[in-house]
Amino acid sequence: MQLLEAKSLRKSYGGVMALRDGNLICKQGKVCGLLGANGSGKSTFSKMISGVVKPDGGEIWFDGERLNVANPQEAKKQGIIMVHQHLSLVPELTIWENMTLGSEPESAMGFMKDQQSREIAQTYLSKFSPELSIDEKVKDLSLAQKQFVEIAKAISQKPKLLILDEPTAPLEQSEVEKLFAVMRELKANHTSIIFISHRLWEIKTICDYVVVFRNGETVGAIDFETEAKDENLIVSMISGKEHRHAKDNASASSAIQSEKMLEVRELMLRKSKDRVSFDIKKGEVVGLGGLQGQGQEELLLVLSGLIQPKQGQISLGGKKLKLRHPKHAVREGMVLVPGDRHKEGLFLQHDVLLNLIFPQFATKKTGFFLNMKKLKAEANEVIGQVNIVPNDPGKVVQYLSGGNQQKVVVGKWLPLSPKVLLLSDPAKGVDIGAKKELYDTVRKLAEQGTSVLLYASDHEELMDICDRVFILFEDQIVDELMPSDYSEQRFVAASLRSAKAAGN
Amino acid sequence: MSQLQTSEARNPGLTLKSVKNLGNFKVLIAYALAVLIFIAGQIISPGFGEFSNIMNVLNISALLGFIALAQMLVVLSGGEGIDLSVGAMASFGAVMSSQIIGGLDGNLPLAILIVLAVGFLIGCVSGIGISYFKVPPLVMTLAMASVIQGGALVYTNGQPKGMASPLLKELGTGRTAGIPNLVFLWIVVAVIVAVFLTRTKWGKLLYGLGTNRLTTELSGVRTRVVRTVVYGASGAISAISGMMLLSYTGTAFLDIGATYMLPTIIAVVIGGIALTGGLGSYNGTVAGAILLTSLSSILITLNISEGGRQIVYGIILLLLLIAYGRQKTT
Repeated sequence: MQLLEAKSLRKSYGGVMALRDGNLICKQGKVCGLLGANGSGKSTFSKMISGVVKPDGGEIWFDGERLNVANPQEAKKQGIIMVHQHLSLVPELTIWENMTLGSEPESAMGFMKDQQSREIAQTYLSKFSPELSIDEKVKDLSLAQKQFVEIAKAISQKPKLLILDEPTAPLEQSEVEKLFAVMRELKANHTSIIFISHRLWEIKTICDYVVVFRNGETVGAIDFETEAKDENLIVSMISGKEHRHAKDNASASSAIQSEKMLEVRELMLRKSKDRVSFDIKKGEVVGLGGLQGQGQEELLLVLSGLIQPKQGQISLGGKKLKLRHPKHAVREGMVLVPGDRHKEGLFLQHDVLLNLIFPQFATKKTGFFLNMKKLKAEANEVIGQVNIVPNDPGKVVQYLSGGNQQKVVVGKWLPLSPKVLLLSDPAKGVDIGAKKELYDTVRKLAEQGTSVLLYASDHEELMDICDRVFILFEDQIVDELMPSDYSEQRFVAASLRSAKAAGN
Repeated sequence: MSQLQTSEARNPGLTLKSVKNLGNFKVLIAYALAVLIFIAGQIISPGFGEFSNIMNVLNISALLGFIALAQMLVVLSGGEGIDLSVGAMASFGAVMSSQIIGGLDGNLPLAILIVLAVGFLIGCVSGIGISYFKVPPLVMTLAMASVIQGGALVYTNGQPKGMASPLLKELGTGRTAGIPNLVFLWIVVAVIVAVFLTRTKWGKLLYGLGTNRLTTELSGVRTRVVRTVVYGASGAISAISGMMLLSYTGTAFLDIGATYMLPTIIAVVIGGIALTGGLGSYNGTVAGAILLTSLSSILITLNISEGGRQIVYGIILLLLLIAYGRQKTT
């Protein structure tokens, strides 16, 4: 029996199609696995069902009726509850207060019945962590415990349909098993569940069927009750099976022979126990791949000196570095093109000139008084090198296109002749022409001996430009791909299979 | 992203020049209004628009202009930057100067040194609280204002002693070729500040920090140190401005600088400095100081009491903030 059917859901954000054609059927008392790469539209899709996002088109039928909810509260009334990836608990409140927040039992007079709230909280929390006290404040909990509280809160409201968006991300193996036990119990009570995860073994363990999204469309479904749990089939459905060996030879060979530039040893990112170690040669372009949020950006921020690692060693050209501030990295010639150019890379309200000359102030290149003529000439040279359009140093950066803004962010480092260029998703929100110019600049720098460490959320960018690619998973390098391995399918498989390996 | 593109489409020709012109436009309006006030004053009360009275007004404007410079640096440095202790610091600077100088020219160099150093150190305390302990500038400097006031009371035992020396008095009240000496000093200061802001590394750092702290930090600048120094500079400038107040009045009293606090903020805003930081020049603040002082002067001519003037100041500040908006946020 089907509980929910979504037909041809559509959504675009300012001209960008987030979801073209989303379709899904939820069967009563079954677990539906929702699969797809980052940006495939599965998040947008599940937000529509839970009332967070309003569809541009298409229809949702729930429990035999056309569903038309404007916000999550209405969806909740209908019996649809989503547990989001980014948790929404109030840190200063206790577990039980959080669990009953927004649905507090009230007496006839409108006073809250705390005792009743506590009992409800205790009942549902003990399904996950009987040892945990409901009087604990949420801010004192681990990420996994918070995740449990969030799910317990959702379940306490007895949903007909429960949507879990990557609930297992912060969980360890034994905790995942606990979650699965609860999910099976819910199934037995005829609750339907939509389960989003990147870990294939979890999908195979708990799901009754899967629906796969790619490029904003539903591309297929596999019913595990009648069909085989074929991992290769799933991977190829997610990746679209496009084989690509797009890397041209011109860019591949230049760096191989030269000496080590950057050495990273046993670097501990964030709080996980896992360490990262790798070498990058002079003039080499190395990519960071994998699913989003696996520590790629943290690694770049650590190398740029903005955040301090718990442990580990970084050496540049044989010299051991102590990076306690971006100043130290900049002075050594290790510079960052950050992921959010507006917040981290530019002075939007100022002209191209100030933006381009600014990094020199942190080094000893300039004295107290500035030779503006010389600086302006340098800026003009950079404008020509990276081809900023229009080529006017007096133009206020705010009024440049995204691509040209990004060229400013890259260009401002050129006068320092960086030894290592760190790039965090530099082509985000940049048009194709500017993207090509941007990567041409990066390639040219590499040929002149700059080592490049590039994180890009788009696999094709990595394949086009990198001499090799590390696949990261949970703050660890789990795979290394060489140009001969490059294909969309290899990337997806490496990202996902590693997910499987780490989950076991 | 898309928002940005549309704004680009709407303003295809907007370059730095026109943005600068926008700032200059506010400055021009400020000067025009000041001229209007003198014309109106002349009509209401003949003599108000005469050269000597205009010079009087400029003389007092210079005092406001010095303290407003301290305020401007802090506002320019961004991060919700504001210094509510400039008035108290100026008072403290004045009573310190008065007691150290004790009417003798020979004590001037020592007084200048001590006043600058004490002002800088106290300002740095605010700066440390704000950049290292994350106390909001509004609260931090308000608290410091109270500390400084109390400190001045303790330092003077409630009754400031001493007085300005002849040389200092000449600076504050004398005229050369009909123009007040303080105005000459003000011109020199304005030129130095302009060079500092546009031609030195620290000037550019100040604009960078005010516009976007994180970008500045990632460019390798220790933004917390820079911010601390900015508050220190504000303290030093406020304190030495207190000595200028003394030069004008001859003797100091404990709240000599108190009434300047709000006007400094108004002058800065009139001059087109964004309260969000990172944009503007001292040129505008100068215009703001002149406009505000002429306004105050005509209000006095019209026999409007101190209370009435305070009401007018407050309303002007609110109107300005509404008119200019809190233009940009990063």
